[in-house]
Amino acid sequence: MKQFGKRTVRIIDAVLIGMIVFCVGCGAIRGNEEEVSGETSIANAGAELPKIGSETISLTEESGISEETETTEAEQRVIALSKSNAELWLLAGGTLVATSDDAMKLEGISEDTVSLGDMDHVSLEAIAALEPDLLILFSTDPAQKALGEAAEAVGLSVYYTNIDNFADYENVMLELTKKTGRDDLYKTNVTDVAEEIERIVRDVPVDSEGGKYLLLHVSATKSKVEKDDYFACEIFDRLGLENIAADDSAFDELSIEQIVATDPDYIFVVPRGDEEKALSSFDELFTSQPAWAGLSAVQNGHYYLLSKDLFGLKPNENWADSYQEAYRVLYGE
Amino acid sequence: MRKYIIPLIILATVSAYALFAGNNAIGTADILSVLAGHGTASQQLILYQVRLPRIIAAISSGAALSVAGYLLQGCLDNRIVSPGILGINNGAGLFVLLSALLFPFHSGAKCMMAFTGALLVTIVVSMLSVKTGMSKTSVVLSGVAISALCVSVIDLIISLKPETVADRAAFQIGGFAAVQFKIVLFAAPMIVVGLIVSLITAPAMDILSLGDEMAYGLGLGVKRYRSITVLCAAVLSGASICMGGLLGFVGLIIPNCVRMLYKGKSRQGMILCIICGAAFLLLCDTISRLIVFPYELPCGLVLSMIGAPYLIWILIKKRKRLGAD
Repeated sequence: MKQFGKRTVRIIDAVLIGMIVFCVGCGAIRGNEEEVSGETSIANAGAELPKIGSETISLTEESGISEETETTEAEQRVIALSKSNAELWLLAGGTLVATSDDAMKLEGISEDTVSLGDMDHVSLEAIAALEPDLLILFSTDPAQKALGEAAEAVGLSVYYTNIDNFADYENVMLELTKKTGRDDLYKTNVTDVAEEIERIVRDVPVDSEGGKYLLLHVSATKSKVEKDDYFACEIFDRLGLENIAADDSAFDELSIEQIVATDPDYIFVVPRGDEEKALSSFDELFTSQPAWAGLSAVQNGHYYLLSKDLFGLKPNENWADSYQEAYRVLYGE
Repeated sequence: MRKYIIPLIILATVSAYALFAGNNAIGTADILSVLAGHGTASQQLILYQVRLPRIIAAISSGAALSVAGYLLQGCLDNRIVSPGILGINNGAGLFVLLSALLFPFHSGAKCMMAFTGALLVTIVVSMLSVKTGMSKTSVVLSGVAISALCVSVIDLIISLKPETVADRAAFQIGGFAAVQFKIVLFAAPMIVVGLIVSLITAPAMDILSLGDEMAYGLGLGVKRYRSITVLCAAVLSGASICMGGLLGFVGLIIPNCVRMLYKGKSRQGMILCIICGAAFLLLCDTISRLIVFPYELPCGLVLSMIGAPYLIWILIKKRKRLGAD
């Protein structure tokens, strides 16, 4: 301190006190704003960007979103973690400042979009540094849920999605297109798709006998039975089939005895990994294991490997294509 | 012979229950009908291709794991030793993970690799133990070291290829839901051989229980016997892992219960382990099959949920009895 004069020290003190008073004042104003609006605060570092809309939106569980949040501003700086969420936001006409690795090859991702790595291992610091207006996450992914809670705790706005069927997709897209103000994209990516789906469902032959089916999600050597809360099951149900695992229990390892006893007419397999490898596993499973080989579906050749893109991942704007593919498998062209 | 009667009755009862209890599509009358040569095709399929292989696998695995634990605890004079402690389970787990990477979608490869892993780890542990003197401590520490090495390689693989985790998790819990006759036919003969060798060499365990020095004095080749015992335990564990995954807990609990309830010669102890282990694992598998029907719980989960409180109860009971004495 000896090299500074008393006057210099006083000036520095004054500046520091001024800064403290300013910061306290800002905090108080911000706190008052939150009290008045009762909303989750939104980082507004991108406030200089043009706003796309300003409608108040209420997001509820009924609309496919697990927690109720409100936002009054259109979001310009949006981060969507996961390919599916990123795709939804892009379909709604938005742009992304950052996303997870798996979404980086999506059409519509710009060169400026930052990759934040694996969707379940994203650093909150990295997110906060980008000063997002909105973070789009899955409500059913524990890692993303935890990240969302941490993000909300530091004042970021979070939007949770959970799409189990086409109605959920419709609701989420409605909310997202309201945010972006792109009603035209809602029509293109939802209304038109819904009409196409209805047309395909109407085409199901009246004399169709329907039948029972089993939908398996397979990875290396584990297979999991999918129930009616899985979007692809909704497709087959609407096309006249009946799921043999149509209950709401939390278990997903259906007893092989039950499968044999129910004797499904169709078996559909959705691979999790490499489709080619899944196909060889699929053949091995059904030809080498007597319990499977004896099923009507296997003996009649009614077992099918479904496209991962249409039945493994949420098809979003390609939902009608999933219906079309299922229709082709069941009833031909 | 009388000491076997109650365990045998329990095993017979559990077996009958496992055979006849099932879903409403194939009840007791249907089973009798199928056994008499009638029944529908699906009922025959359920009985002969699903339920019977499963019962045989559970019985043979229970017997094998119990005797493996009994052998290791006896020859290392340590009641907390089990195939898991010697790294056998982690060795099998590592090789199953490798099979998922190298031969995905081939269930036969998984079994063979599990067996290879169990045997390979045992050989490495034995070689290490020989290098370090083949004492009780050196065998256990070698097993712990190799087990840790296997775990670190498993973690490395999972870090590089996280998609293999699901398989590993299912395998680690263990169960017989997907067991096939061809796997039972591969593993059961090895279990029979392992059990026969164990029973033949059982008297040596009685000598070994007097202590290494006394055993040397009585002319027992301690190092050789210990090697044979560890190898037998590896064969039994490896064959069991092929069928049901890592059901390690049974190898700890049954030998301890048998030792608490019966104090006599090793051969009789082993026979009791065979009967009790078979009955216990079959009971756990039957519960896992029926408790949430038409779905299933992994047998390993039921095993731990029943086995752990039972072991605690036995320990407390023993402690009270000692206190009363």
